This record gives sequence, C-alpha cells and structure tokens, in this order.
Amino acid sequence: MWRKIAFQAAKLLAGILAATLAVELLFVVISSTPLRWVLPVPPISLYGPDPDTGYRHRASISGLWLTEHRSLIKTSSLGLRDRNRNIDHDGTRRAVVIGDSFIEALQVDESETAAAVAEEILSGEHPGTEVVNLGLAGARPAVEVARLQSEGSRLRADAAVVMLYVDNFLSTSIIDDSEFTGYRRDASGEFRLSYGFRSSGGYRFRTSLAGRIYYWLLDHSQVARIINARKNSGVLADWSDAAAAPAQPPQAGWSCASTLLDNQLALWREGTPSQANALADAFIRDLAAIRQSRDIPIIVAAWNIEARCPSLAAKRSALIEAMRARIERAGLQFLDLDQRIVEKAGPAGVAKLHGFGASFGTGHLNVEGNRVYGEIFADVLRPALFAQP
Amino acid sequence: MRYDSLYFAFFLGLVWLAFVLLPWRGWILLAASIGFYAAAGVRDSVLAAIIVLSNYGFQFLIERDRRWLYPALILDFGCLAYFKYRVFLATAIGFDVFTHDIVIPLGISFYVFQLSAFLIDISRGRALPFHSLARFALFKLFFSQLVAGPITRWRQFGPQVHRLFDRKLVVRSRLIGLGLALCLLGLVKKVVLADSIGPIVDAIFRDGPGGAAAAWLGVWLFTFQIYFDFSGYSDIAIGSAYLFGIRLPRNFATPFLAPSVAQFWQRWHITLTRYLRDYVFVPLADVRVASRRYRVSQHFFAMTLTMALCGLWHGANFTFVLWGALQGMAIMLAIMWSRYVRAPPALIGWAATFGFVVTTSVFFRSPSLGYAFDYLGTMFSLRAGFPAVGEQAASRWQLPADGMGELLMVTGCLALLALHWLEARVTTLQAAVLIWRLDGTFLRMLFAGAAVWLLLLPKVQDNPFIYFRF
Repeated sequence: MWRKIAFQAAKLLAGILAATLAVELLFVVISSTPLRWVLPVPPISLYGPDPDTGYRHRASISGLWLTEHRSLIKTSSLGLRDRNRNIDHDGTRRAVVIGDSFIEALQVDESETAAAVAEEILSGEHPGTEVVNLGLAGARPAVEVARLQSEGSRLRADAAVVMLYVDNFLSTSIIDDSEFTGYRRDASGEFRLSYGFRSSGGYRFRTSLAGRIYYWLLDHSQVARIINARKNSGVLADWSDAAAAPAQPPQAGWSCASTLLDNQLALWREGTPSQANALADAFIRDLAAIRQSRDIPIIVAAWNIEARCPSLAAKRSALIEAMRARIERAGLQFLDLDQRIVEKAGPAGVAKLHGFGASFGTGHLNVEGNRVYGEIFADVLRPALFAQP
Repeated sequence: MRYDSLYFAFFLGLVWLAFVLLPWRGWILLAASIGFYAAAGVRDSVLAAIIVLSNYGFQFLIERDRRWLYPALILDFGCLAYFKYRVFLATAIGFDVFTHDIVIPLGISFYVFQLSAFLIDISRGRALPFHSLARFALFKLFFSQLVAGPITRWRQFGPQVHRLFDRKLVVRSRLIGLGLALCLLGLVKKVVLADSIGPIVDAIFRDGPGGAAAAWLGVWLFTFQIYFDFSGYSDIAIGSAYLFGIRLPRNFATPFLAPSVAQFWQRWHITLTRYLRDYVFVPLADVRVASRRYRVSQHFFAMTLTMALCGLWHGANFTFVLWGALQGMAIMLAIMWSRYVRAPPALIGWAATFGFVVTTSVFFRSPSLGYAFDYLGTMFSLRAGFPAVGEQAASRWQLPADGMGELLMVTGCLALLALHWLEARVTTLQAAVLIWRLDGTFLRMLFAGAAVWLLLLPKVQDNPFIYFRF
C-alpha cells in the first residue's frame, strides 16, 4: 500500500514539475523574443537589500517592467537605474539626481529618463559631464538623505538634485524605519537617520545565504518571478470589486482647493505641527551637513505645489518664499520645480507629461515628461557644476 | 467571480473535493452555484432568485395550458428588456423616462435565453417540468455555464441534473484529465492571447487609427481577441463541468476556418445560433403571411431579423443591430449562392468569409454608427485620416515607423491565424481520446499545474471576459 501511495505521490510531483518546466520554457521563449512586447511575462524583480537605505536596485539585472507602460529595464553594474559607467570620473563633472519613482522612471527606456536627458544636454556642452540617476521608487526624505550620503559619496558627485515631495513631512510614514531608513528621535530628542530595518527578519533573510539563493532564482527563473510578483501583490489580489469594475477614465485637470496649501503654509511658515517641522529641520540639516562636508552644491527641488491655479497664487507665493528662505538659509539651493514645469509646458500641457495609453494625463512621467524634467535639471545643474572654482 | 482568477481555481478545487468525497452531489453543486452567483451581489442574486422561482411556477402552468407561455416569456424578456435595453429603447423613441442607468445583472442574457428555451420546449412537449425546485434551480444556476453559457437545452442538461440528484451520475474519472486540459486551453486563450491583444485594440479604437494599415490591424486583432476571449471562457466552462462528469454542448468549432458565412455561424457561438434558429428564425420563416412565391423573401426577412435580434442581444446599440443584420443578409446570400451558383474554390470562399467577418467586426467594436463608418472609411482609405476622437487622444494610433516593427506586426497577425488553424488540428476527437487514454495523476497535475501558474501571473491590466458584459 505504501508503495502505491509513494508511486502516486511521485507521479503527482512529476506532473507539477513538468508543468513548471513547461511554463518556465514558455516564458523564457516569450521573454527572449519580440513577443515580450505583447504577450504576458513575469515582471522584473528589481530590488535587493541595502544597509544604508533598506533596499536598492540589484546590479546588472534585466527584465520587463509592466506597470503603466512596458519597458525593458537593465540596471547598471553599480546597482542603479542608470547606464553602465565607471565609478571614477577624474577630470569630468558628475551630478546625481535623487528622488522617487518619478526620477527612477521605469516606464521609459533608460536613455529617456530625465537624468539621461540632462546628461545628454550637459555632455553636449561639456563633454564627459555625467548625470547619474539615483531615483528609487518610494524614496522618502530619509532614504534620499541616506542615498546621497552613501551613493553620492561613492560616486564622488560634484552636485546633487534632491527631490522634495512636500507632503512627505506631514506623513507619519517618514518616522517608520521598519523597512527603509527613517527619521527617529535620538536620546536628545533630535530626529536622526534610523536603520531599524537592519534588525528585521525580512532584512536578515534577504542578506542571508537563503536570501542570496532567492535572488539568484529571481534572476534566473521566470517561475520564481511569478511567485515573487504574486507574493508582492497578494495571493488573492484580484478578489475585489475594483478588479471587476470597468477602468475609470483618467481625471483631466487639477484641483485648486486652498486646503492643499494651507497645511504646507502652516508647516513652513508657522512650524506646525511640531513633529513635521522637526522632520523638515532634520532633512535640511542633514543635507546641509553633506553639502558642507563634501563641498558640493545641493539643489532641493520642491515638487507637488500646484502652480496652475491663479486663485492660489498669493498663498503659493508665500509658501515658496517660506520654503526658499528656510532651505537657502542652510546653504542649499532651492528650485520651485512646479513653476518651472508650468513655464516649460504651459498650464494645459502639464498633464500631457504624465501617463501612457488609456491613462494618458495621470501617473508617472512619459517620454515627453522626462524630457521636460531633464531640461529643467540641465538648466539648474549647469551653473551648479560649472560655476564652481 | 472570474474564471481566470486564482480564487475561482480555489473555489473549483473545493467544490470538486466536496463533490468527490460527499454523497450529496446535486446539492453540493447547487450550493456552490448559489454561492458563485451570490458573489455577483445581492441585487443580481435577488433578481435571479425571483426569475427562477417564477419560472419554476410557470413550467407547471405551461404544461397544463400552453397559453401560460406568453406571460412567462413577457416576464423573462421584460426583465431582460428593462435591465438591458430600457435606455436604448427609450432613447430610440426619443423619450427617456428613466433618469438612472442600471447595471446589467450578471448573466441575465444567458439565463433568460436558457429559461425561455426550456419553457418553449415544455409548451411544445419536448421537455418535462422539474418537480423539484432544487433540480430546477441547478438546471438554471449551474455555476459552470451560468454567466456566459453555453446556453443549454433541457434535453442536453436536464437528464444529467436528474442523475446527479438520483446519485446515478457516474463521475467518469477519465473526463477529469480532459476537463483540466480544456480549462488550460481556455486559460491560454484568455490570459496569454486575448488579454495581450486587448490593450492594442483598445488603443487603436480609443485614439483612432492613423491610417488604413492601423485600422486593419485594429479590427483584425479585435476579431481574434473576441474569439480567444469567448471561446477561452467556453472551454473553461465546458472543462470545469467535465470535472463533475457533466457534459455541456460545444460552443465554438474554429469558426475562422469556415468556407461560408452560413457555416461560420454554425461554428461560432453554436448554442446561441441554435437557439435563434429554433426559437426565432424557424417560427418567423414558417409563419404563413404570403403565398409560396414570396417564400424566399420571407426567409430573407426572417434571417435578417433573426440576426439583427442576435446583434441586439449582444448589446443595446444600433452598431450591434446593424452588425447582426449584415450577418443575416450575408447568410441568406451565401445560401442562395450555394443554391443557384457554382460554389467558388474553397480558398476563395474562406477568404471572402473571413474578410467579411473581420470587416463587420468594426460595428461590433465601435461605440457608435458614425464612428464605425469613419473607421471603415479609414480602412478602405476613403478619407484622408480618422477624425480626432476624445480629449485623451494625443494623436491617432500609428503603426511602428520602422520596417522591422511593421514586419513583426504582420507576422503576429498571421501567427494568430496560424494558431487558429493549429487549434483545429489539435482539438480533435483523436486528441481527446489520447488524453482519455493517458489520463492519470501525472497528466492531471501537468494540466492543473500549468493552469495555476497562468493564474498566478499578476494582471497588469484588468480584462474582464467580453461576453460577461452581454
């Protein structure tokens, strides 16, 4: 009887194994031919553990990014969403652009990202000039600072653009360091970079031998990518009414509600709430410390402050002045990115910089959006890189 | 609950286990079917319950006096008309008394047709009423064919329902491998093919084609998208029924290889075509309204009307009505051609049929008649370009500018046709017999495992089954 059970179990396992191999083969064929632009493929798994920020791109991996727009992603040998480049750059100038998924720009080709566009412009004027893309999806101010400290130092950057999504300080997630670098109060009550994730089980697994095997599998097996993607989205992710509902048309236009600016004004002008104010202080303090220690210009690009509403012009102006004063007082440069975007694209043209296909007008930057952002970065980096003694 | 979801696979697995392990097979399938439909929401479930209960009562009345058929049909089709066509009808007569749109209840087009066929069959003495409400409810609600068919007749499904409850239905274990193979085939059609083609079709029809080639590409792809989508669904429905030893009628037989339009409709959505033939066309064609010499005209009219109604069944829009009417006229033309003119070579017949099917698909996909004619104008280069549509359309959809991209597009389109031809060669009786013979743990795990891998693949874009909206 046991022999019969064992034989059935062997047949069962053999069937599952054969199915797995067949599916693996199917997706290998799709992924390595032009069919990958149309047929389904498991999405690339980009990120691995990093002691400085909690996560980062893994080096020299490639695959398809599927969300919003299908693109072929290849990370650089340095583990960045960037082209391959030498870590040394003697005799040439190098800038870094630090931000979240908008800078990471996984929806477009590497050569079409804002950083690549800025590099193309600047290297045309000053051969050899480099602009390195340090974008990382989900990067909050603490991660940006940690990334500038680690990667900026490793790359010996001569200038940096740091994106500042203004709502970040008002979010409580900024003090959460369980998965990524966060800001936590130290014994003296000051907010400091904190790396609580290093003691988490997930991080320990990812940095262990088992974790390395897991990542090896992700890099070499399509089926492993399917499992990883399903783990990330949830086993029963499609169990929702939203999944059955027809897609909503993208929202055109923008909100000119005054309340959007009121909270920011309270933070930057009046310093309330106090925790958000202390976090903003810590962010500016840390960037200023890097600027001082490395003697490089740092441009803080404030972003997501609606610049298309004439009715908000006065409030917006007050907010921008408050932010500018506080940031420049620390020796940093300030960039009103939204205003520059409106100047470049026009109020009606801003939406056209976002989204793809049916979601045109919303979402991440499309090719045109990256081009506009790249031109702005080139404009602000030019004096920062070449006006130095 | 969608058939291409992991939770449907869990649901199917659980129901199958209960079905195999417990003795109350009919009750298990009934409970599962009620649970399956309940996931659609309270409103849909209450409506379905009311229709089922009323039809349960009507079947006895009709058996006694066939005049009860008319109020029963008025009730069934009245519900269908109210939920699916009220806005269309009200707009058509220019008097919209309804202010709120109503979402079409899940599967109403299918279960109303199935119930009406059953009641008509009773009135004609071709079906027997179900005395047990549970059996009647399972006949109506069996989850495998509830949402989008196949539309089953009493003589196909009724006896199987009785055998389930009488514990006489022997689960042929060798059907399980075949059922899983059909489920896998359906998932490949849906997940790998239809869902991949869909976004391109959506983009072309949303932005408008940038030229004749782009227009042809859009409608070519749409033709295959809807085939893979619906035949994929039908394969899963039939395959999952096989797991419980239940045989449902076939719904597709590689229709794009048909040598005439008449044959196309004998191979496309077969159960709907048979319903329309038996309950709409034949009564219309047989009714005595004129002398024999007008018989051909009457048949022409009956076929056109039947197919126009077929179009209307698909959706409350004049685009569907015109699409159906064109199909009806083409069927009559093909029949008359075969009667009076020598048949063309098979290849020409096939090309003309396929060309007609592809071209008329424009009406099926277009949001309005005006749009459809603009699209056709672009296809046949009767206009300089497609008019701009929608604020979202940054530009019209263009083919890749490089030669390699165009070559890949053409190759892909031809590959779809080749796949269809391959399907005809692979899904044969011999293949079914082979699976039957080799059926066992290994083969079942192979099919089930591959199906689960496809279900695990995360969905980048939501692509519900097209026929669920009908």
